Amino acid sequence: MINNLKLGFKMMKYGHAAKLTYIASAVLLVIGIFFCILSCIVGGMTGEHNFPLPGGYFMSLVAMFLLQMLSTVNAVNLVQTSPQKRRLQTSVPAAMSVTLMMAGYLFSAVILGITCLFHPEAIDSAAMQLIAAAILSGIVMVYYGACYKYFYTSTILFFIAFFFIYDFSSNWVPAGILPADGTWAGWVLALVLGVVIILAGGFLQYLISLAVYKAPVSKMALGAKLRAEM
Amino acid sequence: MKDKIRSYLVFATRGYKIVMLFVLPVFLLAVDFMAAVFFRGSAMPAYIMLLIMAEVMSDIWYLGGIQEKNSQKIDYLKTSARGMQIMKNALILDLVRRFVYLVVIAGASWLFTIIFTAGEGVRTKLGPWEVLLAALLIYTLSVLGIFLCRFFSYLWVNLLAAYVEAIAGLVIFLIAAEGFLPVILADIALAILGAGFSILAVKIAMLKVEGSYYDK
Repeated sequence: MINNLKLGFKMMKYGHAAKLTYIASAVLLVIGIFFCILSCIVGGMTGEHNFPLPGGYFMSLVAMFLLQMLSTVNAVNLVQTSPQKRRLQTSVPAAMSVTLMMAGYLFSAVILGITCLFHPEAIDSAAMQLIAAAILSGIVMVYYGACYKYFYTSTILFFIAFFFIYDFSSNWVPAGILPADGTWAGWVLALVLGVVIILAGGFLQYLISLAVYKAPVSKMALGAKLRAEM
Repeated sequence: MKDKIRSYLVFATRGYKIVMLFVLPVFLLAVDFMAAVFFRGSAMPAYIMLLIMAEVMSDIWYLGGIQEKNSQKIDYLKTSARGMQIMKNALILDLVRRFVYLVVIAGASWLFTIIFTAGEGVRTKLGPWEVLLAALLIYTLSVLGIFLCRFFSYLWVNLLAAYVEAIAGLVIFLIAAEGFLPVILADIALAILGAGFSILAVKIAMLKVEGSYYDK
């Protein structure tokens, strides 16, 4: 695991358009923090739990931006012919995605926790946001496992799953599992449940990337500039 | 005029034509109609986030990346003597298309609201000036978005700009519609800004495309 992470972070720096991706990730991180606080406060005042978007979703986008930098490395012939190719397409992205998504999730949990200290009426809303963010991160991870090989199919399935599960995760799941009584116990339970979901998503991503490993890297997934070089 | 429309269509792929010029307006008008009939209000504010994201992201398939240094998209066009004229016509007509599109949707929304709520209380307090504000806001923000995004040829740059602008558009509209800003003043300010951004977008795009002959 540690070796996979080391290789991942080293190769990530050589990705395509690295500087632009770092700037974009920084902007998304700021937006994510803003949305964490906004959704929490709005959720505390009204009854709606995920308006407008859970902040954790933007954290998972940050993780995805950094991950796609790693995958652009697959466009290079040197990587395609190297003995590390299997690692770079299966275990390294899975390890990196679990690490980055978990970091983003825990960071958003910290921001939500601090907001809830000042607004105790928002604890329920924050708990549901944690679960929604974890489920969305899980879907993004599973999508990531297949999208670089079968781009169109996985993108269509991703959109369907995203819009269907967005409503499901913010209304049905928490009502059955969490004690929605505004205490910190429900919040901690939501946090632990989210961690389990992200770990499960990472494991699913690893299995899916192993299953599609033999297929050639899809050119549509890499973007216009890299397509010209492949 | 037919030449100008042909110059505009030459950059549009079949999917772009079908989705952006046919499916999307029909869908939006249908939702407007249902909102007026069933909810007695206008669907225009809900469009703000959707339309800004759709307009900014779809530009990547239309003229994305032309203001970049080594853009490969228009190499063939640059070998023709009429290439620059076609480019300019396409840029101008794209902006005209966006404006007409938004005015038609805003106008239809307002018309549906008048027809179906004559005499009864309107559920959302939207008058014609608020609907015009929504249209101008979408236009100005999407033109600013495509102007900035044409410097890069990456889909995720368009995605990021679309997210930021959709949020900014919603916030500005809610501030103006709740009465913290006089709506007519906001309309005039947005119209001036929109015209300014449009002129800037066309001029800078032509500067960059003509400069790419000399590797500027």
